[in-house]
Amino acid sequence: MKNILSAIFLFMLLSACETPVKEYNIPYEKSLVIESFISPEDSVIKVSVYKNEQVLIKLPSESGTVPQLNNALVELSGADHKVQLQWYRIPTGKFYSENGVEKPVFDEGYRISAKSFPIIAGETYTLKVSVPDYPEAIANCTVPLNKVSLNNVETIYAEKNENSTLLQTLIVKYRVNPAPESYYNFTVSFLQKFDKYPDLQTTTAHQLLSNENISGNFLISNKFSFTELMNYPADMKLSKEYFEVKIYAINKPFYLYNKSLIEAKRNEGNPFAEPVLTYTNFSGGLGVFAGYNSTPILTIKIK
Amino acid sequence: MTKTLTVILQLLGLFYSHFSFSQSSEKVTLNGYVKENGSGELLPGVNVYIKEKGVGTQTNKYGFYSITLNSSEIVTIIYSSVGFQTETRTLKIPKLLELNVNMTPIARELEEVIVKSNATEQQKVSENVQMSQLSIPIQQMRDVAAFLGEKDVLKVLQLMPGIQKGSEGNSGIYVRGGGPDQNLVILDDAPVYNAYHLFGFFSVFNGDALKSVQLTKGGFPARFGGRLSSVIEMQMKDGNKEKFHAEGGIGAVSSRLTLEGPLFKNHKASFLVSARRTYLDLLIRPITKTNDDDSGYYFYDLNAKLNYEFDNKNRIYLSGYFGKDQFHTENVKTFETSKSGLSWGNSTGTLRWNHLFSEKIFSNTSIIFSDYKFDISNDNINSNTTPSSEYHLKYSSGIRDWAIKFDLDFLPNPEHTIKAGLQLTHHRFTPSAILVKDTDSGKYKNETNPINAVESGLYLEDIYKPWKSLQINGGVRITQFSSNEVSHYNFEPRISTAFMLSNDLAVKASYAQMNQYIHLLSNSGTGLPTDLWVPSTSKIAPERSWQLAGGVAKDFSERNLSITLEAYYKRMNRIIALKEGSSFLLEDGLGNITKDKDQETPWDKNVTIGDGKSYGFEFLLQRKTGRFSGWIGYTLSWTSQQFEELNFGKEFWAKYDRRHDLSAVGIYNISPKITLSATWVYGTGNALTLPTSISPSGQFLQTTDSENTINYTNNYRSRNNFRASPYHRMDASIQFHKKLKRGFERNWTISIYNLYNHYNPFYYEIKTRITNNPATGSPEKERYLSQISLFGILPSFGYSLKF
Repeated sequence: MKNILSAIFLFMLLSACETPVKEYNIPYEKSLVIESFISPEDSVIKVSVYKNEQVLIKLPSESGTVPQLNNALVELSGADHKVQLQWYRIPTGKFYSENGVEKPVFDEGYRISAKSFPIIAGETYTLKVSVPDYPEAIANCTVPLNKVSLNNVETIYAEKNENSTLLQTLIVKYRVNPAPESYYNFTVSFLQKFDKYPDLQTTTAHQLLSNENISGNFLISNKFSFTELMNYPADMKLSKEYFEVKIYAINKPFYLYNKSLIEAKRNEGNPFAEPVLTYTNFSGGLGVFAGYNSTPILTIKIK
Repeated sequence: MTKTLTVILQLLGLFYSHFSFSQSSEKVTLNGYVKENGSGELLPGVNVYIKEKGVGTQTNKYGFYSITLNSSEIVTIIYSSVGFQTETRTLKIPKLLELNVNMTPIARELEEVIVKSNATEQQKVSENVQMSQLSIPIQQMRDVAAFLGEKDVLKVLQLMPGIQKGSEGNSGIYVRGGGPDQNLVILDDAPVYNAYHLFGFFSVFNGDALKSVQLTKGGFPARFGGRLSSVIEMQMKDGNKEKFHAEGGIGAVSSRLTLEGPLFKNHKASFLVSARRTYLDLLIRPITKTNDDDSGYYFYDLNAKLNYEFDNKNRIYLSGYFGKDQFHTENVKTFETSKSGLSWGNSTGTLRWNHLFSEKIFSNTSIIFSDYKFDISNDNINSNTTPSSEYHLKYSSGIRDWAIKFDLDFLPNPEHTIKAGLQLTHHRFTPSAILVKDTDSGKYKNETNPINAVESGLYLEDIYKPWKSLQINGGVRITQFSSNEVSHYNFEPRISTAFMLSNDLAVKASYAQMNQYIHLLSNSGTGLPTDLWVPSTSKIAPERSWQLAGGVAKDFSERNLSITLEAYYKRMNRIIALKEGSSFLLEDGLGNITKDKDQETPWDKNVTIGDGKSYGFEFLLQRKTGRFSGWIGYTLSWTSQQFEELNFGKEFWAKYDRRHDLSAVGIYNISPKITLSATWVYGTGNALTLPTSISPSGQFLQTTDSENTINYTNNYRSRNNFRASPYHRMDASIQFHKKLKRGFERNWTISIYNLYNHYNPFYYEIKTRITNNPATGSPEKERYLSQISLFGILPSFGYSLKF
């Protein structure tokens, strides 16, 4: 089908001509871009602080992580007290290549131990971030009250041959009490372990769901579908294959922000699709300050 | 039944006449048909004017007129119409007079002379109560320079004020801030649901088969309904009743042939068949065909009409349109064969019966059929396995209508023209129907249930002339829509007035409410066949609009010029749009249905509801006939929309909001043998959405694939926050006409689209290219804004021959 649509598009562009637009003024406003997802289950509260960039800009072409701003004042406050998060930067043990040179990947940002500032379901918190020369960014977040439990999770597994490819599929069902505004994130990872190969082959997918996806007493995901790695060397032997499932009860900003990012990504390169506006709950900045509750990881063995 | 109705109507007529003319005793009714000399084609919109009384009327769309006068008077009756020599009859009115008149078309060589001599009798825009209505003579449409030489009525309409084109080369039209879905396109009473060939580049209407085209963009009379923004009414030619006639043409994209003539010796019946087919498939085949692959595209359309005149009171017309676009690909390998096809097309049929109840009461009854269908097929056979695996898919969507329509024109006296009618339409929507046969998974069939709905409209309108200087068209339309989910009733008041300030100058005003019960889901704006018609449901209410318009119309009779200046304000409520992030329905819907039934998303979940408003000023200076004819149209307008789920609920400029829109069209007959034509258009760029910054984001939902990569997201802060560069283009054509022996006439046309080769924006995209940093030598990703344009200068030629 995509061939046909591509052909239509190709036809329309048969005599098309591309011209770089040299003078087009896209006004740029400096903003902080902040992401923080807080949960009562987490042991550390983390905040990422970036800056936005002009649209028409030159960026490094190599892989790597985008450096964060390390001179931010990050304050988190609850009903009765306020804390300041501290900058940290530690190597993850992973590497990326820059001009052919292996460089370490760092985990960085601002953090504080949850023991110093426990997050409580149902409570509202305020995050304030200021960096010299940038507008101050402030957002509020109410952590969802609804708890999630593995006892409410059901899954439907299937293996499917499609176009000479083996697909491992999983539908996740979560028993809920329908509520007018409830939002969830289902995360499913497909993992393959091979003998003589140290690393797990992991593929992860997320689905954001709302009460619109409830059928009866269940919130039902769309089908998670993973392509089984089949073309591996003969001396590698598949020893273990399994899914990991995790359910998150998320608040509305979590849902709207990530939904806008996913949809924007999906529409990249489609000139006829309307762009998706990026949600933010920050006043004076971009990004999101969101909350969730989550289940422990549920493992579903295939082999 | 007919007799009973006749009696009732005649009694009503008597009452009305008596009521209106209580002081007068001897009244007679002059009535008849106006035909084209030489072909017998009935002529709509002919002005019938009684010189001594200063009163007049117009022929209806079936060429019938009726006017009631005092008897025993000597009167001069003037029949005038654009493109025809004026006919004058002076006579003493007897008690009852049936007067059929033949009008002679103006030959090119005589045009200037005759137009000048007829100037005072020509129909004036200032005398017509109807405002916001555009008509372009078919001959003028044929003379306008055309894209690839294909004469296209919708593209000519795009050149008029208040009507805007969508994207480059596209036939879709936007009327006073309304979307293409808000236009009712009617061919011989039958709605045409997808009026485009070749993904919107050409309209389905073959100019050779058309008799008249009229677009109403405001001040809607009560007889029109069902859409918010415009009614485009097209009539096919009836067919020449006097002699056999043929016309054929060869163009850069397609060839066409029209045959018409009498069916019997008594000249009471005639036929018309007109066909057009593109040969793009043959032209591009050398490029597309390889050993394994083959693909192609073509479209065709066929218009056919029969009519029979039983007697002066009864005529029957049977007309139809059939058109199809077909796109196919084929891949044949040793063990695997794969074929895909995409086709779409309209079929319409109309059976009409004109009946004259009396000299004052004309009726038309139509049975109407319209069917739009979009099909996809995909067949894959793999014989590399045992047994061979097969996959077959058939998908279709569409809309089918059956309707009955009854219209009555009642002309009791020169002061009143009453129109009443009823239309009942049964819609059958098939948003998606599918059949899948898969030998891997076993046969799987899933056919979505069609949705049935009934839409009806009942109207009454009266064009009332209380004084010579004042005309009022007041009316009401009562509409109803019901399906198994919902039922809606609406009352739509309509009023138009025209007040003559002087002989050639009138001020006009109008108000109209409209409701639209069916909706078009489209996010391409390019007239793709995947656009889907759907009904109002419990979640999607009918769309509604009201429009207030006022203006001035001035005729300069001596120069055969007219000027109209109009201002309008239009509100559109409950209009629909696709939610942010929704992409082609086809891609989503088909993938979901064929692979994972449980992932199907109902179409109404992708839709959001909001409001829109549009206001502006329009100017039109027009010269319809003469050696030099054409028009200048200018529109200054603002169109905005507001949806709770779009742009964070804030109001935004509509995509086709266009502050300035200017068209200048000139057609000059240098000599009887040569016609020059040029068109220049200018328009403010479309509103478009560009990101205002980029930022790294999406850390929480990062997947393994995206780990350790610099992943920037575009930050779109508001919808349609930028403007494309202005659109401007000039087209020109030259035609060489020559009369040959035995009545043959040939015509060479050379057209140039985009004469000065200006690349206009089709869309913009932010792209990335790799460059080297001059300082470090390291590669960099440079993001830049790119304008994609479709057509530069495009010359084309055409040849036609007729006799």
